[in-house]
Amino acid sequence: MGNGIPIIDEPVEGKIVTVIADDLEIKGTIRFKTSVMLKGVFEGEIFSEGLMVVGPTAKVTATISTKTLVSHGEITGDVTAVQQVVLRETSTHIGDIKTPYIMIESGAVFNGTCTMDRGQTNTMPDTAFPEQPVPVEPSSPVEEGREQPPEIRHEQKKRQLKEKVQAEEPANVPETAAEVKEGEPKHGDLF
Amino acid sequence: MIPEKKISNSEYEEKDITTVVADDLEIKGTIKFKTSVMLKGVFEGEIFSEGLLVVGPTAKVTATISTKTLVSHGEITGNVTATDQVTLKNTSLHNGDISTPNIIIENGAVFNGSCAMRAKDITVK
Repeated sequence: MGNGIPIIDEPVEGKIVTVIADDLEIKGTIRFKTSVMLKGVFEGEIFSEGLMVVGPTAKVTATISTKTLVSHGEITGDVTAVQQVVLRETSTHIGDIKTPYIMIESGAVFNGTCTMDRGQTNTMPDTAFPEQPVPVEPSSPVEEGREQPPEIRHEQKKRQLKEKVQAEEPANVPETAAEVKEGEPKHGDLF
Repeated sequence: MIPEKKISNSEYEEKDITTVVADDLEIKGTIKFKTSVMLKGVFEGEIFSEGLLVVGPTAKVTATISTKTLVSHGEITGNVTATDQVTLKNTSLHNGDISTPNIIIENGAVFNGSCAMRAKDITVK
């Protein structure tokens, strides 16, 4: 285990392409490819192929679709991150999270459902004692059967999310998901 | 912010734990305890605790858990209510809902389920 866990690479504020200060209020849709830090009030939708940082002063009410989300602030809404979600100690999150990797720090508040799809579960085979490293074949039934119950449970939520985001297949790996998004028509070119 | 002692809840030493259930033991049923238990084997049933429950990396627990503090390195299937804190370590796998005022999920942990936390005063600076 430990392989493939993305390292949290949170750039300093100066390295983030766009910083939206705390006196700015936005309603609408934003789309970006690299990195944005929100410190103000945002309402609407966020589509990103990069890093989204929610500052400690930020209040975000949005459906967020991004590669990586790092939150220090307040988010209300559903989040789909193809790589990782990090909830820092000052953050409050009300809404569902769907991501392969999550980290929640002590002090963070999270109210919602977390759905994680990743092949990682084959490191926890269905045998009681996983010490003997079981060479799991790609087509192993263990791998396929694992994550079914939560899948079914959150089926409806997913469908809703998908409609909003028009995004990737749920179980996809990040790379394929990103490819799908690139072909997406660029409506909502607000900025 | 968060007092230092909260963080130390997830740092324990095995010798300080009252009961250690080794990894070759399989339990079905209900366990109740007041201090601390570390599970390393297979458990199915219900757990009621007023103290610290540690789920070891080799453990496979299918249970409804009610405890003060839960630290998981292993695999848990079931709903958890912790009055103090839940810590999902980087090797852990959790399928089920969590209800607790304070949660830590380490990078690498897998969590599928809902999380309900007591609403905290949110002060916007």
